[in-house]
Amino acid sequence: MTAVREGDTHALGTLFDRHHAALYRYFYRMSGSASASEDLTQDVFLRLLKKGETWNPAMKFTSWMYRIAHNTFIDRSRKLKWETEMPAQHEFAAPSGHSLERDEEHALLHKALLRLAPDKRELLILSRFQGLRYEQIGELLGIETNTVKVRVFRALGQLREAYAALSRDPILLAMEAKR
Amino acid sequence: MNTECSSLELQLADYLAGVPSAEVDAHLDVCEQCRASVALWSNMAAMPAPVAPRMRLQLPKPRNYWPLALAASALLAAGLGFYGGRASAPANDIASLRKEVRSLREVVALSLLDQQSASERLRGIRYSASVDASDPELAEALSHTLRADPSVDVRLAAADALRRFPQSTKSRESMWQILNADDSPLVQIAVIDLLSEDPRLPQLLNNSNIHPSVKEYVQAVLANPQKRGFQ
Repeated sequence: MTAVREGDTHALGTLFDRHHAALYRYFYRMSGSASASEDLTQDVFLRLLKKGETWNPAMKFTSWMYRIAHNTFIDRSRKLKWETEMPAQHEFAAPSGHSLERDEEHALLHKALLRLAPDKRELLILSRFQGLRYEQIGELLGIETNTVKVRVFRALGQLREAYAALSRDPILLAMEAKR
Repeated sequence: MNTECSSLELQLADYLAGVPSAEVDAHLDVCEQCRASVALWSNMAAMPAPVAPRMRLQLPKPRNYWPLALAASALLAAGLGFYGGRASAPANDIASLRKEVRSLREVVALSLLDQQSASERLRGIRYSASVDASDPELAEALSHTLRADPSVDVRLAAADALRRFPQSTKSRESMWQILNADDSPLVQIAVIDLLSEDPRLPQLLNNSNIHPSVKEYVQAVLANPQKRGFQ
């Protein structure tokens, strides 16, 4: 990152190779849109280049990268209303030994996640899927670690409620399928 | 959430992160809601990860607006000519103006296809539907997009848009090269649809770059050439 800060685009290419897939997954889970996720991933790396001088080496690089990703997502959300697409089967890696019932359960969970407010969804995505520790999430969002813990557990409760509502209400489920 | 749950939120969050706690275990024995939350957390770990498409870093290119400006000037000039001389030859002027509008659409579509953002390129492909299918430059641009675009979504949309363009021998050869180079089974199927009447189609069954499920699709197309696309 030190080289990128000095405008080295080759070094930026190395960072891209290392982190773009994780960022894509973060944006996909945040937006539900494959094409928007590609655009947002590219945007993050442009911002890394432009804002290189704001990087503090004391901060873990991934925390700083996700802070930029978080800001990029917020900026884009202000401009666009997300056209959340139904996730196509090919857009997810097939887990080993998966069953149809399990696939449906996961698709429902994905929809429930998209029903949460973006800030709640982000806490769950960062902590559960992107592998960030509570301290890192606090650092990138600028909040106390204990606040992160409380919010993550409450967001999980809301996800549980959204998932239960979708599971038992076929009309709601049909409406979600049309979105 | 009851008072006990609220007082244990920090420990419950740590528990999710893998920190064992006898106090939390005892709480989970009696609290159905928290137990369901913890179970859901475990279930989330088994969710399949979204597959990131093949991507490469795209740094911004200097924007090139001169083709748009040129087309706009041409349109303006044609419009002025139309109003100035409509008494003498209105039919010719209208035909000329229509031609200019078509060429402006073509320039806009080509310009969008060259954008850095995948959504903009998808917009360019949608826009290409309003352009005359006999335009070879646009067909070449779509063919280039199908061959080289880093986004699978954009490549699939380009293949779909190319259906209405007449195919030359050169464009067919280009499609064959794509089949040998593109590793996305979905793109391979879309290209096979474009080549469904090509006599060399059986050769694909021995091609190692072709995904096994795509080979099954080739066999289905060979058995019934009318049955194309996803059923």
